[in-house]
Amino acid sequence: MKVNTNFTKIFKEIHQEKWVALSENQAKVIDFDANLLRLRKRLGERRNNYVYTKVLRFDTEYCFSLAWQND
Amino acid sequence: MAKRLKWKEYDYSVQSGPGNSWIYRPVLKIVVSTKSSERVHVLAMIDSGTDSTVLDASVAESLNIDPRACQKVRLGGIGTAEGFLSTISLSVPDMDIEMNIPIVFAHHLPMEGLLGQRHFFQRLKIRFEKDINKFYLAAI
Repeated sequence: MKVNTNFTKIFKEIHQEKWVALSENQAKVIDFDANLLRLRKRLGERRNNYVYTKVLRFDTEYCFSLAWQND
Repeated sequence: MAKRLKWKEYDYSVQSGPGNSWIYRPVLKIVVSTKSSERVHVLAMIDSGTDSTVLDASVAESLNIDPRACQKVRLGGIGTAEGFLSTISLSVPDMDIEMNIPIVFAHHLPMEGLLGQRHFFQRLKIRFEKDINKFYLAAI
């Protein structure tokens, strides 16, 4: 199975800072939500078949930071 | 005679970044599970700058891990935060590798998770070839 690693086409602004459920080949966004547990509940019995990722904001340079968590 | 390593090739994942740029990151699909029937397939970034494997606490919640029953740990990077530690199964399905390792869970990470030096880097040889946006893994 060819796995998609280019998310530029499938991640839209609405997905930023959300949990996204991807199809097994990572080519399609199945659903998304701010809360992973709620997303998995909504996906029901197929929840364990999907691949989950949390989409970083597009305007963000990533580095491991925790300071802003304590808001 | 030295053991011959069997390298598996992966493409860096690419996502939109600042100023309409494309950001390439060494992201790997892992599966985390406990003894419950729940398992979560999640993408996590290989990060040699992180000590241990760190995942967002939402993943622990999905695996029915009770933070109150876990050892508390302090995380430091840019800023500090409190997390909790739980030993769970982490597998790399592509490579048929499974390890039971302590994972640090922290709330509100900007990404889903980081695969750090302790345990993950000890079980796998990892080769980054950023110039071609590929990375390679081999079981030790």
